[in-house]
Amino acid sequence: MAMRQFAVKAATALRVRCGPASLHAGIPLSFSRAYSQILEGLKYDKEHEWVKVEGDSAVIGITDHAQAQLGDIVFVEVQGAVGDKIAREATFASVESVKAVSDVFAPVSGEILEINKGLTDDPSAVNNDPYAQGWFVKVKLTNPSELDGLMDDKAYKAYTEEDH
Amino acid sequence: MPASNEFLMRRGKEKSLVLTSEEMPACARHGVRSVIMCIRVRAVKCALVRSVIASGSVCVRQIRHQVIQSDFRPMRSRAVAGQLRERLKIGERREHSFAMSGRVVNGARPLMRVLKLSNFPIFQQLKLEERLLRKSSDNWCLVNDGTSPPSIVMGISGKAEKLLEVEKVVKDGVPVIKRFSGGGTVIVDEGTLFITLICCRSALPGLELYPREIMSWTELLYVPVFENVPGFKLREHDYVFNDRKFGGNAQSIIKDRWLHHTSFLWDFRDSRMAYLKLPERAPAYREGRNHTDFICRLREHFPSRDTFMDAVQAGLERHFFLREESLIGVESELGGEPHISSTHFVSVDDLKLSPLL
Repeated sequence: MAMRQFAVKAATALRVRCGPASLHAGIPLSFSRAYSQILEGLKYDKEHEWVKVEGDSAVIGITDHAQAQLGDIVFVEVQGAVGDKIAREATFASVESVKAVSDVFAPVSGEILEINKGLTDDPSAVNNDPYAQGWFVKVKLTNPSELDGLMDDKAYKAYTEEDH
Repeated sequence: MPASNEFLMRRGKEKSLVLTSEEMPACARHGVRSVIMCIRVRAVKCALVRSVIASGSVCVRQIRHQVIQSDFRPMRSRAVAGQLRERLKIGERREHSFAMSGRVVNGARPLMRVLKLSNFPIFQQLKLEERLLRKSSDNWCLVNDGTSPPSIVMGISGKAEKLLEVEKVVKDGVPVIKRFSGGGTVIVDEGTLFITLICCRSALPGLELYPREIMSWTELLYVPVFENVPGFKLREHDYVFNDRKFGGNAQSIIKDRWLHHTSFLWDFRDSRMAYLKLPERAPAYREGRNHTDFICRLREHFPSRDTFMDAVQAGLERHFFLREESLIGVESELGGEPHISSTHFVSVDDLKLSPLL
């Protein structure tokens, strides 16, 4: 993790881009801004959350870039329960890392269908596998048009390269 | 065409001077002496300029201190206050051009509202901080000189059975609070000095709102405060003098705002430290030391609390324009709007239900 952090800062300072796209668990991914992974096929928010659309529902988590910036995550708490509504841009979860609690913002509005209870026992899953084991919630979309306002992988890659 | 033993020297815009080879060494020596003289004069000029800047900066700070003080007391003479403000404006403009801190935008530091408290209960302080973070859009500095009653404060993810000597805590009736920010567990009392900073993203452009970046900025803020104490640094997220911790800090980051609060150990009682267990997640530099070997007292390095507080104020003034507020005014301004509120007491029943009890 320390080497990765060093690599992030070094590459940021040197404005280095990594190699061409490769595969991660069968899903194409690309690298941006020093080794942060960005998966193709997902939607991304400016606050560094990702959304995986599955029909009329969506899975939400935080990106590899976000977890790298936050540091070792020691606590994850979703504010609410199954059946609660979350609104786009509102806080729906908190993560603790490096003595700081950071709000996590909903990229889309929806009704909570499922909460990843595994993060209670193993919050490090957000660091180790942010796009799979590190998911936060699954929601039923209440306003699918909000997806149009999110970024695709290419736009998010460009966004992270602008020092966001 | 000059002869081969002649050299052509051009002095600025003057006519070309043609020298012979015999004249060249003398001229070169003269030239070297001239260069050395120029360097010496330049060094003296630079020293003079630096001293003027330093004097100007001190003068501006003194003027600013007078103006701020005049805001806190009934003005004896509005004319005098007005003159002070005019001098301050001139001084600030000069300071802007002389000594750019990188945080002066268009000649004006962002406003930071200061709330000074004394012996304020820590639970109420934390609730107030959370409200200011979430409901206000201004920059704030809360200062609390001591707290009563003595209380234990855990971070948001703290587990009593792992962090506290629960039986002793319950037996002695020590209040236990879980705060909204991260970080570890502290026992706070009349010997603790609290300083909380709450800032908007726009107050410090370029500062990314992530934990390490914010903590690095606060380290820079406190460097001049502790400039006379050897060994001050931020070490694995603790404020230390060499390897002894004197201040614990924690943060809360929301959209476009952040909070960084610190509990400084002005003094402490060893008997109260006995309520705390050695945490599982401890910084490496602690090396398994117990509390009394790991921490140190700030009063050993400052003559008085006021001296320390004045140094903090001076440090903040490098980045912000400070304005003191009253608690009544702040509470009236905030009103009773609901907001996300995480700070709460851990009940005795919950403590008694701790797995290891």
